[in-house]
Amino acid sequence: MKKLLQNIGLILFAGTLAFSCTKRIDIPLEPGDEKLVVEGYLFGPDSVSWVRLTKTSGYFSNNPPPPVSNAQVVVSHKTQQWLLSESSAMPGTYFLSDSSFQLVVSDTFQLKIQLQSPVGNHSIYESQTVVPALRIHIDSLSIEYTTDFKKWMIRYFGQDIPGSDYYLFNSRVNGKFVTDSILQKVVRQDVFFDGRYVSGAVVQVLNSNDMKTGDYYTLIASNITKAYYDYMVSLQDEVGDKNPLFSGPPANVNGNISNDAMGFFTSFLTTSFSVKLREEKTVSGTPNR
Amino acid sequence: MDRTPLSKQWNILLLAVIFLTSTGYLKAQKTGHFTISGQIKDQSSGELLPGATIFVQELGTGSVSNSYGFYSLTLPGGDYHLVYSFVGYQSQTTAITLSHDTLINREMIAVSSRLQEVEIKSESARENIRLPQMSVTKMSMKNIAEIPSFMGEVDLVKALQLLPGVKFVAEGSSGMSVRGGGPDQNLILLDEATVYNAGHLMGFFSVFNPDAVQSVKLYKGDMPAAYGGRLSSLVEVRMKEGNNKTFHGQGGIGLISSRIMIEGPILKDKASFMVSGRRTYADLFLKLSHNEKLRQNQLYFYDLNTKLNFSLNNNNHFYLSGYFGKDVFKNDFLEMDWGNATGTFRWNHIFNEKLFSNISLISSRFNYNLGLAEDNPRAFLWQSSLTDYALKDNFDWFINPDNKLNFGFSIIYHDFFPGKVTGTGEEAVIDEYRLPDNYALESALYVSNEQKIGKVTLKYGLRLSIFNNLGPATIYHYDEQFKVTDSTVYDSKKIFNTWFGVEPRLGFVYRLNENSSVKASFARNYQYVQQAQNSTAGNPMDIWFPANPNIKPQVSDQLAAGYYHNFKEQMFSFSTELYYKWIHNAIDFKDHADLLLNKYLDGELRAGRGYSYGIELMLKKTAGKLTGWASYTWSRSLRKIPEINEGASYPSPYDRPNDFSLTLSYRVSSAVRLSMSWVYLTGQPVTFPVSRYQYSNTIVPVYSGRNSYRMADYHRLDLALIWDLPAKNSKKWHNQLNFSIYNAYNRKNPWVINFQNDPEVPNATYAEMTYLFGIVPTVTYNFKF
Repeated sequence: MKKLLQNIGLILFAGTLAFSCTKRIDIPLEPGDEKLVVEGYLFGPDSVSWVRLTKTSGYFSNNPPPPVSNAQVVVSHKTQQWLLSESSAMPGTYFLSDSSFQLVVSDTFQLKIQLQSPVGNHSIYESQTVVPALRIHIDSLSIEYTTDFKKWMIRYFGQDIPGSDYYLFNSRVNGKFVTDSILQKVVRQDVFFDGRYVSGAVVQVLNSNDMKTGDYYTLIASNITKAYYDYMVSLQDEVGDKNPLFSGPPANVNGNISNDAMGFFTSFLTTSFSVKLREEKTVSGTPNR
Repeated sequence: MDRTPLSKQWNILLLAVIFLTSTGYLKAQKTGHFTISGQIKDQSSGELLPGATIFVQELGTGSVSNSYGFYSLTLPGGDYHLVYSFVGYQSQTTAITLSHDTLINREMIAVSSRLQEVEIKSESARENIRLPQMSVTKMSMKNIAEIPSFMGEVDLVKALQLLPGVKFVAEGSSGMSVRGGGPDQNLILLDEATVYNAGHLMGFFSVFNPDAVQSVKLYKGDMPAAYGGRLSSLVEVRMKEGNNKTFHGQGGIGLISSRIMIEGPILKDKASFMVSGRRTYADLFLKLSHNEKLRQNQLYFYDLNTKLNFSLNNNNHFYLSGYFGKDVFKNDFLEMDWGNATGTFRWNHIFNEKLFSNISLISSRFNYNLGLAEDNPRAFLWQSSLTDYALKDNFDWFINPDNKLNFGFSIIYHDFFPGKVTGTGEEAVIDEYRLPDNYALESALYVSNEQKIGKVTLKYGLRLSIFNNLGPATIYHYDEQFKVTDSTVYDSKKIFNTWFGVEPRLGFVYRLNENSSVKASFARNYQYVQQAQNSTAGNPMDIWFPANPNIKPQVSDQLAAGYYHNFKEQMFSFSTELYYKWIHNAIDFKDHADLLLNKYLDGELRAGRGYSYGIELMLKKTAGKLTGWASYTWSRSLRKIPEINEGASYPSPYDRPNDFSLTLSYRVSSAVRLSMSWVYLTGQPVTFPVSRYQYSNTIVPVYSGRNSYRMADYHRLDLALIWDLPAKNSKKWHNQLNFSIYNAYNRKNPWVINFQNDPEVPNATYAEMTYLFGIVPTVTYNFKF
């Protein structure tokens, strides 16, 4: 709903924005406390799971996020444990490449991080995630280029399964992931179409230069937990522009990591649907599970 | 508070009524006393004059006409000189020999009538000294019309924002914060009907067409017992009644709108009408945009005000008034409209020379519709509304010169339709999604007496308010983490929850001398209906929602004291008021609240305490070539809510400690006036990032405590020149040009500050200020006949 409000607000306020101007300004900001940031994903067999550890930095620091290396990062499920190994090419990023690891739907997976030296006065951080079942069914896509907005609009068609669901949508074009930032990802809940045949819900909006006729387009869809859905919606709130008419007060986005760390640890399975972009308005393809 | 048994609450009020009426009645039974009563009207239009003064020279006492121009004065038999006065009118003295009850209707003659002045009558010269009511301001519309306007639109609400203790909520907004309260804490009444959304064009203009308005009065918290339901203020706007003697009209052609008003008699001296319309054409300016999409947008609003009134005889007077306004936004993709519709029927009945009553039947509705364009195969329609039906009965009993009793009741039926989305296109994604409706009864019984005891005048009253939630309804239950655990469905028309409020309204004035007084007051107000507005300025989609088993009513206690002084033969008036206001069950919203189309809205709310305090100073000059006022307010407005800002207190969005305004009008000649207003406010409190992190390849801010920073201070100068053009052939037709300059020195006041990623430099961020409206010059042509 909030995304819808933002879109409507932007259109409604277009008239006022026509009379507005912007200007870069200098604002002295007090430095905040240093905190650990955890970005962790557990994927199904089609992807390697990973956890990235970084630290917060001054808002105008203008440097890449400081990585946290040499940590012990462990994922566990019931009696099993997997130790993640830090990438030498990507300091602070720890991969789970053990072939014995697999997600189990509806089960809880734990994350435990032991730092070499404390960040934010703590050395141990923990989290956990429940694996949602993959319940989305896509039987076709519609891809339109709207001249009004100069965007590609990707809609999906398929039967929604009754019950509350939260979805995450990403895109690949010619095999390249093109929705790697928060605002490019789309999260949806099925409150408006729960249990119905979904005939063209917009699930991705790409820029005109992201794609062209002849490209291979892949929609990647996942079921996510309500907690991760709320987290993503809140993140999108905070990284998007604000205005006094439609925006609530800025606020930190609380994740699911202990000891006041920032970030989120989540897990999801994915399905994808690939098509080759032709001139026709609607294209069809084969779902890849 | 709250859930004490109903019978006990009623008993308290009943006892108060019996006590007040019996003491007053006993005094009224003195033998040899007779009553002078009547109505005071404008001679040229026949409109009633509320607030006119009747002074008895021999006794040094008097009375003031009520909201409908009725007055009553009981005196011992004898010879008297009665002085009728009203600011802007010639005083009239009548000699009478009082030996029986006497009816004297008086028609007052205006000192001058000028083009373009909205016919609102100023306060009587010493009313501010004499009356116990404090924190109240009547604004002369003559002055309002002279204040420089934004885009040529004379705006009552923007004029109120220049008063001490009143602040705009965002640049250009017609939303206002009174003594630190939110915009939804203001009870805005148009001919007694609640106006739930007083803004047009996303709030940049108010819904009040100046041609159709008769009077405006602002009460900052210390409301009369007859009013309630909001914590911060009462804004009482009355429409013109219509001239019952001759036909008149006025109107104007402005930069963004044109308007016209016609009034006249239906039956001379008996019945009259007033009809007024305004329509904007702001979207014409969008055609000038370089953006093709903007050029295709339609964005306009219109207002229609009507009023009929009919005097059956001296004791029965009927009024029927209505307002209808709508904003429309349309383009190829989206269609949206929103607006208010109100209707009021009133019957003034004079039972006898001492007892006056007014019965009102009122309806009020705010609704919006939003959807994709009809020809879109995925079209949907999103609708929401709030409808009120109300019955009010108010009595003024002029017991004797020392006691004036006001009592009555009101019942409002609220029908909340928070939202429904229906798929209307063939390929609509949505079938139908509807939030449960809510119904409620908001009732009140009140009594208040104004009693003079020597140099002291007391005002003591009590309002008992009752709020019933009615079925059918679905109420969700929440655990301590605000997660839904269960729900209860209630049957149709069944009262399933009741809240009570006992609201004392106390005050006194002590006259130090003829021109000075001190006053103090205490007022408790309950608010049972509030708006789900999480942004500072709000938007038309912010729905109203009622108190219910999950949401306690908000309660404010305001203590105020003041000193008032008139000098230089009433030419100047000075006032200062100190206040402290506590708000219990103050509502705010959790971080990242989802307030739209959310069945679980109650779970997004967080309640705590609010408090505000301040000192307000005002110096006003009301006569001479140069008139106007200077006002300064120092105030704070804070909230403390356990689940917000880690439980620490934080400034409310309306906390702007220093607020100064200077509003002046200078009469250069009989035809030319110059005016200016300059405002200065401490910058708006805001939340800024103190650090950042990266998630999903995106820089995410980490914020300071809520509202712990401030934007740059706000200041702005507006200028106007009003030129009454010389009349040529017809003395009846008057022309006027109004030149206004908004933001004359082009101050770039921040409207919002966003933090952006630099597209040119990886990992770099910067702060960007958005500001609205540089210098905006406008010219408006006004006419009157």
